[in-house]
Amino acid sequence: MALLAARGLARLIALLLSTTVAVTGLAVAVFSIQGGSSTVSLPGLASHVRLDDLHASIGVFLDDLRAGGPIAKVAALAGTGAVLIGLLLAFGVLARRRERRVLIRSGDDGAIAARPRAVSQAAVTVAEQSRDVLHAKARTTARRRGTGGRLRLTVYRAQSKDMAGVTAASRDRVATDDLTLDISASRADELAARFTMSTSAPATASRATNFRHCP
Amino acid sequence: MASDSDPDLPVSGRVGLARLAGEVVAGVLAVEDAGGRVDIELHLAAWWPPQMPFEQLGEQIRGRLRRSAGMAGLGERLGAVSVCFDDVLTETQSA
Repeated sequence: MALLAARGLARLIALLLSTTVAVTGLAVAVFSIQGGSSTVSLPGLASHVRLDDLHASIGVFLDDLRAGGPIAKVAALAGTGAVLIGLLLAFGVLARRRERRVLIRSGDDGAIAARPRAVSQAAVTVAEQSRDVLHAKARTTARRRGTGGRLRLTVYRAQSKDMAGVTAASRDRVATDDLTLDISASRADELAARFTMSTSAPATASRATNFRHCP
Repeated sequence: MASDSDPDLPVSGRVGLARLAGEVVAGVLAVEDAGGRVDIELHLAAWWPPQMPFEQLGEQIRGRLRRSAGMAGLGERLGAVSVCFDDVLTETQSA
């Protein structure tokens, strides 16, 4: 909840700041159109930013640019590159992210899938059933293509507990080769393989679970 | 597919909305093609602990949906049926 509020506040402030800057810039631009030598005018702005001095320093470059040749080509390439980078950044900001699902089975008659969050939640629930585990975190990433995904489970054990034992118990409770979920647990203290992510893929599939124990 | 009213299935449709025959059904997305075939996508929350693997549960749900459609005389119109488990609910969350 606090995270959502912080994100909302950050977005609001960013919107207000960008709007303020845009409106200020627009007002300055409009008022600068007028002539004269007032503070907000073209001659005034030119004086403020010392355009005369700037022209003196880059005048040679501008002459080369106007005359064509290698400098003009480099400048044209740089401008094109800047436009492309801007488009890429705009795409990165505006493009809608689509969450990939962990595909369990797919065919002409439809698919069976699970959201990564649901898989992580199930794995955490199983891992925390162990009395030796204080807390667990899971992160699931679906494969780009095909079935399955990758589950990373982090188990926080009690300080006095045997790490190897917790490891073995956790590995028994949550195992994965390919995320075809096989959930059959009914009691927290039941032993191994109550929650397994057994594979429907060939047995050569690599084991994807990483167990990291934090004291 | 009214999973909430079926106590045998440990799932609960609750995510997403679809409008079927003028009725809004939570967790169901239906798309009809030009030929009149309707593809169904179910977004479900599975109760913890599930009584069977996700894959088996999904197949069971799809089978029941197809049987229901067949009994209603709509089997010919039913296209692909997809099941997506969007969430896992524990007893604490459901309380």
